[in-house]
Amino acid sequence: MNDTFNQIWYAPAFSSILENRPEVMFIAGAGAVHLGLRFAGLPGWNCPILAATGVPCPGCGLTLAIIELVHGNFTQSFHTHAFAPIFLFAFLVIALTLVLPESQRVNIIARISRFETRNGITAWVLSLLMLYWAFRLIA
Amino acid sequence: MEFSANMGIGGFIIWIAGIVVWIKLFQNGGLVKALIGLVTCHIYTFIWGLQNMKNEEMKLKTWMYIWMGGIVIGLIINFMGGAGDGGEEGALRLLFSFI
Repeated sequence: MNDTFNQIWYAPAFSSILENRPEVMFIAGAGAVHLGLRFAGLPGWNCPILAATGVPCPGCGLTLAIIELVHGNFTQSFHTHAFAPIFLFAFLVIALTLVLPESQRVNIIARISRFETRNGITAWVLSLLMLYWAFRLIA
Repeated sequence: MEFSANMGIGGFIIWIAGIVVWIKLFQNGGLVKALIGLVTCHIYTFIWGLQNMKNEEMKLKTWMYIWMGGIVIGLIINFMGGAGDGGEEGALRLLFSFI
């Protein structure tokens, strides 16, 4: 039981996504298009969970918060979604792994993988995000 | 906070397609990747589905076609500018209102 939990918690999920170059290209492309559309004030990707249930998903508001963060409105960004800096950083890492030469890309992914395996950072962030989501729904 | 669901029949079918692909992501990619799919408003789920569409064992093709078709229809309706204010465009938009 404990082994199963550890396998899930300390799984290098983010780095395994980064290892798949076509997937990373899709993510970076989709993210850039979505952010670009929202920057331009146009509708981007609509959250299917919000539309279907009327309840925002844990990530709803992240795009707006990232845009506010980029514009320097830190307080507003924090109020919109507190996890915006983390997701912006993750997006920048994704973009970085696309432009780096292969040897450096492999090196950085291996470092991230070791970091994830050591402290389960991805699982921690996602779990805290779920708690934050629950808190926002109640508040 | 006040929330309201806003979805037509077409939107509901597409939402089901998204849920099916997300369940496949959970089964094949694990809990953490499924959470990533969830917290990215299903953008990652969609990309993962596109990446694994050709895998016959996962049987994602039909659901992904439904999802992609829905997005294309949604884009067309949005560009037509039917804002649910009556007429044919309004009816179409209501049918696919969540896209």
